Amino acid sequence: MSLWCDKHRPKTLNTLDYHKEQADQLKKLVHSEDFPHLLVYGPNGAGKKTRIMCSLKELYGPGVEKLRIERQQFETPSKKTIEMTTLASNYHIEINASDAGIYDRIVIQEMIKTIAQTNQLDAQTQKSFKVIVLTEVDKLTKDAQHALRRTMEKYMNSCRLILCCNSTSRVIPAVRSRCLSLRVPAPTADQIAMILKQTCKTEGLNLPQELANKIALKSNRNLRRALLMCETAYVAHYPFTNDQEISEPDWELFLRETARQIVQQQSVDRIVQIRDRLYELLCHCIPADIIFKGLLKELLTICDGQLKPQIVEIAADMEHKMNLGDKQIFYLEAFVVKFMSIYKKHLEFSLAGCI
Amino acid sequence: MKSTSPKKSSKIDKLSSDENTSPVRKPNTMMMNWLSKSASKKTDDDSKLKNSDSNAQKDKNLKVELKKTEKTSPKADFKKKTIRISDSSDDEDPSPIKLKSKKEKPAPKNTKIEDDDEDDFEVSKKPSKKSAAKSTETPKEKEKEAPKKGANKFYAAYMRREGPKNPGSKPIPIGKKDCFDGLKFLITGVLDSLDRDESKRIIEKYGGSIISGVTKKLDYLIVGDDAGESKLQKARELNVKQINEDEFLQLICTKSGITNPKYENQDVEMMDMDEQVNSEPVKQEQKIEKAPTPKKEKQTPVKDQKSVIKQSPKEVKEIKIESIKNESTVKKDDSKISNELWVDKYKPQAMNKIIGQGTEKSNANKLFNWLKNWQKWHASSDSKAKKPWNDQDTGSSFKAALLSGPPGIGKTTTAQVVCKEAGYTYIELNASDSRSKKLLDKVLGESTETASLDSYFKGKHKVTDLNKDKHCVIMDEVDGMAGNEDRGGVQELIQIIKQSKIPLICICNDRQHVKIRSLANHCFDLRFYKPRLEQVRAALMSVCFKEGIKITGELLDQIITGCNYDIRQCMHNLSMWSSNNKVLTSTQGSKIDIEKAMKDVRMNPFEACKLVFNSDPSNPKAPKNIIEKMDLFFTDYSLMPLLIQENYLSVVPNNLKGTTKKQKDLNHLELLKDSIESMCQGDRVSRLLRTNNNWSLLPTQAVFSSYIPGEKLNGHIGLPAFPSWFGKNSKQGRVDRILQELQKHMRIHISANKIGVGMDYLSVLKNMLTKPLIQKGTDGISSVINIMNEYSLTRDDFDTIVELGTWPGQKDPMTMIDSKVKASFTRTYNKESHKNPFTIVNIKKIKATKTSEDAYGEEEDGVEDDNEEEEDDDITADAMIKVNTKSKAKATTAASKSTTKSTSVKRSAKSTDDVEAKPSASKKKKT
Repeated sequence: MSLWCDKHRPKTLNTLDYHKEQADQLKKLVHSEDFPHLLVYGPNGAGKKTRIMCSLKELYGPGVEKLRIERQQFETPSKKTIEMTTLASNYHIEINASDAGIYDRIVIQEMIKTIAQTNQLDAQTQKSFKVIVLTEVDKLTKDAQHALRRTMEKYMNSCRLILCCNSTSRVIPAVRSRCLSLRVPAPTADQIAMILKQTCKTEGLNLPQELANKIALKSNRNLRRALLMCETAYVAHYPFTNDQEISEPDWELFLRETARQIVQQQSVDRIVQIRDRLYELLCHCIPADIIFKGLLKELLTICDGQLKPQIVEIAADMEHKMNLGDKQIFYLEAFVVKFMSIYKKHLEFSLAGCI
Repeated sequence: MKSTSPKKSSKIDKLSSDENTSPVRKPNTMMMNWLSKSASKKTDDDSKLKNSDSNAQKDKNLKVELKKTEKTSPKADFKKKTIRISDSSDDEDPSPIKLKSKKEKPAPKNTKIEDDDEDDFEVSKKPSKKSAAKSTETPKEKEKEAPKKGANKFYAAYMRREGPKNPGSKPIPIGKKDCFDGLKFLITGVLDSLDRDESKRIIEKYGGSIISGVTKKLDYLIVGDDAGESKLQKARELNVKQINEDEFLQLICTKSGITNPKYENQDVEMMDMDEQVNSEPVKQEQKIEKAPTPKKEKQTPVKDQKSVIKQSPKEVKEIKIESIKNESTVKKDDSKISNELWVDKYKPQAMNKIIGQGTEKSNANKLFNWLKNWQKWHASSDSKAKKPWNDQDTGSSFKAALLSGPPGIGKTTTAQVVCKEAGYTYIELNASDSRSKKLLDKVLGESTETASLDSYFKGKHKVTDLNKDKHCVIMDEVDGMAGNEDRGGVQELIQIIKQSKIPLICICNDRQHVKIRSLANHCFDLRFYKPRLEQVRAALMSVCFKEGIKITGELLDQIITGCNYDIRQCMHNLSMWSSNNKVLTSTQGSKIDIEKAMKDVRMNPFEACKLVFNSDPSNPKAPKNIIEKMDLFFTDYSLMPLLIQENYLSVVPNNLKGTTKKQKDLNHLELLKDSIESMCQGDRVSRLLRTNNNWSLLPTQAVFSSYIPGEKLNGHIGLPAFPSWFGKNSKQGRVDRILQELQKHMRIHISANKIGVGMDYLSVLKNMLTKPLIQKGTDGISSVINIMNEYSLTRDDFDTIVELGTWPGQKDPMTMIDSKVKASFTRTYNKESHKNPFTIVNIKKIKATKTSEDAYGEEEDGVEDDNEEEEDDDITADAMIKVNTKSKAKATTAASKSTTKSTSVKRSAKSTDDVEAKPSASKKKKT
């Protein structure tokens, strides 16, 4: 009894629900003589990995679905042992090199190179190459990405790389130019609503259109989240009703409450409280940029129209600076303090104007 | 007092001739002034000359000449000195030039200054008082030279008399305590070296008292120059003993039972005797009561002049040549006078003299008691039989003591003095000795298990009783045992402590050091703290007084705080600053020095953080300019930015603009904004400098991270808090690892990466896993396990999901699950075998905190025990068998049970009988 989002995941390129054009292109690409390196990018929950798996199945047949988890150990020059967990079938291997942290370069150099160097043993397979799926490429260090460059060219015969990431902005141009970039945009709200309805149908449930739309909107165009929310809603209350409450992820609620507190009061004590909440979010491994986005979204809905540009500017500025800096809490806090300062000043002036 | 001996008369002749050959003195007072000064210089030279004595004796030629009288006695020194003076008189040409040349030689400090202090008038009096009184008088007058008559003659000067002519020129002997007990003194006239207050102090110190008038009760009348005639008269009538200053000093010796010829009367009759007496050199420190050290002998000008009188003419010629030769060696020996550091000079000799250790509960006292009782506690061979109670107050269970505290507050001194007082001889090992494992074992190992021979050599010891033979080891600077040289030293030390038969005293600065912490567990922990300001001040004041330094209390306080209560450093600083000038005032350049000395005090980051925000000018430590403020950042450049970020919010700024509270708040927010903005900038700089190793950017970071926030938010701050960033950061890292592990477990079934897992799956999974257990109880277990199997989750993952999925303000779902349900859930999960596509790594290692896991385990065990007890009720009664119940639970028949049981309890004598008897008993109970 797995969750719907995993249970009803499309297995082949044909059964994909949206971006069908792209699916067709992929199919053609697979069957063409020359399968290039791929760089698949797009937001979370858009279906990148689903598409990759579909393509692989198209390439090698159902054998790719027999997955196993393997562990490998490496030793860094500084005698530190790193353990890497990989997901592999007979035809492909999936690695998240960024798991190794700052030692990702060694993973790239040692592991990927060895895999790439070896040829396929089974000559009967359709393809003469195997595939390495590298996830979270944008989290790789620059060094690791550079290490990737040469491997990509040199072992073209024996292996193909499929890189998977959220944004290409942090992938070095040299790597980008060696791949066929494939953008997987997030599905639209309509598409999500449609998929939700379909899924419910296959589950033998009846999902009202209105609720489907509501969930789609709330899901922030993240299909995975939408499906999970839908299922939670089903567990919470069935049969569905249109005005049914949709439970959102806890961290989102927490973030919203944080934003509310910022607006509620602007004082030093409050900043201290907010700092604790921000730490809490960071400790739950919520990425700082998502915190920024969430806060900004909530703050903008609350604050006055003429402040909006200013606040967006601050948020953008701080988020950018955060990526240049070290400690995320500094920048989150700076954003909060700045917002408070501006907001309070604005309040005072408008109050003075009233009087 | 009769000068009938030819020696004496001849001497006086010479002296008088000396006087006559310098007619210049009388008419010209100016010249006299100069001359008298140079004369005193000359006497200074004499004193040096005397110091050169030892060198001179090395000269063989001289020895030949000296054979007759010369011995290593101070008396001999006197002779030599007098020789030089008489030398000039022999030549009958005491030319000023010669004097001048002698004057060029550096004179000892003390006397020089005192010379300078003398005003013209007094100096002009001098010849008449000093040399004239003793030399220019006719022989007849000399006979009456007893103070009373001399005073009579110069009665006119009485009204104008000043303080002592040669203050501090005579050594004050150390007498026994209360040696003047009950004695009554009266001082009349001006004493030669002691002023009234000083002599009064001496008398009172030794238990005597001073009365104001001459009565019958009076024991001694101390007579100086210009003594009051009426008092002398009355004293004579009442038959009160009259003594002069020298006699007085001698009295201290005689009363306390010390024979010291130096203080014997300068009578003519005594002269010959004096020459025969070869006494040991006596300590000659001025105004300092201390154990005698021959090195520091210092001759006084007065003595010299007086010894002139004593000198016999015969000897004069004999030693004449030698004295001239001696002059060349004078300079060298000058350094000997003060080559001992003050710290050593004024080192406390008794336990109650140690600063801050005088009280009953002081560390020194604790250590003393500990040492005293050590043998009692640890010497007994059957140590196990009566192991002393572990008492932190007395440290009775410890074989070693650990003294810890900042430098310069007397740890080593305490250890040494206490050892001495407790009657222990000690071996001291410090950082200057190599202290590796091997060497320690060798040196200490031997000494800890053997007895000291010290007492044998001293001849005191007769009985070879180990217990009475007290010795101990002082391990100084234990925290210095580091590096390759001393590797394993601390471990070895701990081993030695365990086996030691003698007490060990370890001394260190930093008790929190990793190495010391292991040692501290085996030691009686005595922590030394910085003494209070008053304590240090009092001690330093007395040193200043003894050294003749005039210093204001305020300045002294500054020095003490500047040195951070480091007594040793205070002494060094005082010694250095006073080397130029005996009068220290705060207006002098020394203030700058104090400020300089202050900077060297190490600051901890918390103090620095405080100072960043609080640059109150009244605080002497507060930074004054941008450079000093930036220096604060460098106390710990990696910690300071975090500290400042953590604490900038708690600053209450001083000067907030605006009149109303609202305006002030706004202004405060504005300042906070500027500060955090600047700190962000600093953070980016820090990233730059760390990634590129561009450390020259550090000052830039200092400005952004520390200086600007400090300037913006200048105000009051409480105790700075430790940055929470460290804890949060490590927690973030831990959660990251756990999520990664979780994602790996589920990877086959899901497509999300670890962030996706954290953000989307976690809350859903948490609900899916806990809700059935909460709502349906045990019926929900199967569905939960189903989900877990589907996603290849382990039992640990279950806890992880619940832990990570719970946010503050939410109720922990685990508390809502009935404990029985929890237990049966765990049991059911463990019973089933789970096919996981991965090998299970122990997440417990990764998990820092485990809360619920253990509780389940126990409950589960309890339930299982219950079940088993129900199943096999026949064994429950036997305690021995209960251990094996688990394995037996699976046994099917009662018969097989009994057999396994009997085999397992073979060792027990009452095996079968008991077993058979007890089951029946328990069955009976049941029915």
